[in-house]
Amino acid sequence: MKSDGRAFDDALWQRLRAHQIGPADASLTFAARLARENRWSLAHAERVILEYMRFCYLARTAGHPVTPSDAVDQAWHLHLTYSRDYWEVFCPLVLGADLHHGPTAGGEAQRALYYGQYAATLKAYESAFGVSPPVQIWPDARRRFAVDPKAVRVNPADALIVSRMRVYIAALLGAALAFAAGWLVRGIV
Amino acid sequence: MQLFETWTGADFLAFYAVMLITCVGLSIWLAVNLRPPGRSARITDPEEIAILAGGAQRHALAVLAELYAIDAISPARGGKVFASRTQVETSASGGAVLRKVGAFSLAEAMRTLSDRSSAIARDLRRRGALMTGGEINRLRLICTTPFLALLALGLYRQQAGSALGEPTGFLIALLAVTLVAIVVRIATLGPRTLAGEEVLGKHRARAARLQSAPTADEVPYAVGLFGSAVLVGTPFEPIHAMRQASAGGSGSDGGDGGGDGGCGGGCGGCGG
Repeated sequence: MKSDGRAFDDALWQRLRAHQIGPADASLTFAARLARENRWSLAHAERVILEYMRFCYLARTAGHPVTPSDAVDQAWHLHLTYSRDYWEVFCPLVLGADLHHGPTAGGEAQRALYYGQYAATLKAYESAFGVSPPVQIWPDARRRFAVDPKAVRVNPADALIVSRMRVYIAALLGAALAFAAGWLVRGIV
Repeated sequence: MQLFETWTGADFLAFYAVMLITCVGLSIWLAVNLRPPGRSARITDPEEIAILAGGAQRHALAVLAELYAIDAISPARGGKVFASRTQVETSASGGAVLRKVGAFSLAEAMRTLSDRSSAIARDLRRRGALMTGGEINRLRLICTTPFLALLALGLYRQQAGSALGEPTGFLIALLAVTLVAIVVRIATLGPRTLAGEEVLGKHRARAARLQSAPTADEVPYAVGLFGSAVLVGTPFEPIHAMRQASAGGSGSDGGDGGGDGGCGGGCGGCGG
């Protein structure tokens, strides 16, 4: 809840900010791949990568286990597939420690454990960076633990993907048009 | 000569709809600007904040959330809880709730805490953060006056139209919407003075993160400030289920929330 965080002048944070995952001149960069796999804009993917770096900073400095949001977790998953960068450069030279990925074993106890870690991570974020975590990337507990885990891989070649919001808007417009047509036809007024 | 004699039904309906929207805006403006100023008070106690933000029910929910977060109460059937551990360090309000025998609902917890809630509310009124009963009634009257005037106008036109054999179904529907707006306006008019609103606004701005995921020790403050909805998706969700049960919703204990699949439940990293 401070106006400015202590992390920004930190050497660790400077190394994390400067680190480039994957070759910068690749035709499909790390950010572009992350955007493509999650149907995000490139700008959003780049913001998620920034939040991933903040998460890594917290993993090293918070003093307790940390849990990412789903979006940050997607960046972490993808980074792990760049295994040479992750294990030979990022962990030893940038982060200065091995950062292992530990998925939940399931069940109520694990859920409570990971909720507690997530809440503590958001608190540590605020303390370290002086701002609240952005809710678009670090959502509330309902979204994080009840909605986001339902995500599945879908190939757009096999399925039609339409956002619920567009369906709702179309249904609403359809109902309004039907109502207006009925009104005009029956001449109620 | 009748008012709106030359207006068609459609003309009047359009006029009424525009006036209704205007009334909503005016009523909100009046509620914001004609509130008594009150006095600036330093309010930091979580129970006082709960009363300031949401009254006696919010106070009871905050106390229950505190007890649940320290494992002093556990869920029972039908949206109730019971004291499962009484030897805990808690507030006087928490202690009073823990002395209850058997499973109890939110309404029963509120009855147990009613004296304490009333005392805190009295103190907040004395300190100028909450309005007095007279001030609340006056503000309610001021904020509903535009709707009442519009309702009278609409009723007049409906009677006149009905006498002439005109269809008035849509106008009656708009009158019903106006009545609902009056009820909503009365029900949602917060009891805080301008000073009380300012104090609450500052707390909410500083604690915005708690709306996402409060830690166990932040739970009472988060519930007090934002309501039990902040507990949805957290291990403390049964307290929100209590409120839903008391409001006539499902009596389930909640707490499901999924999150067991794959890696989504979370990933820990060592501190190095």
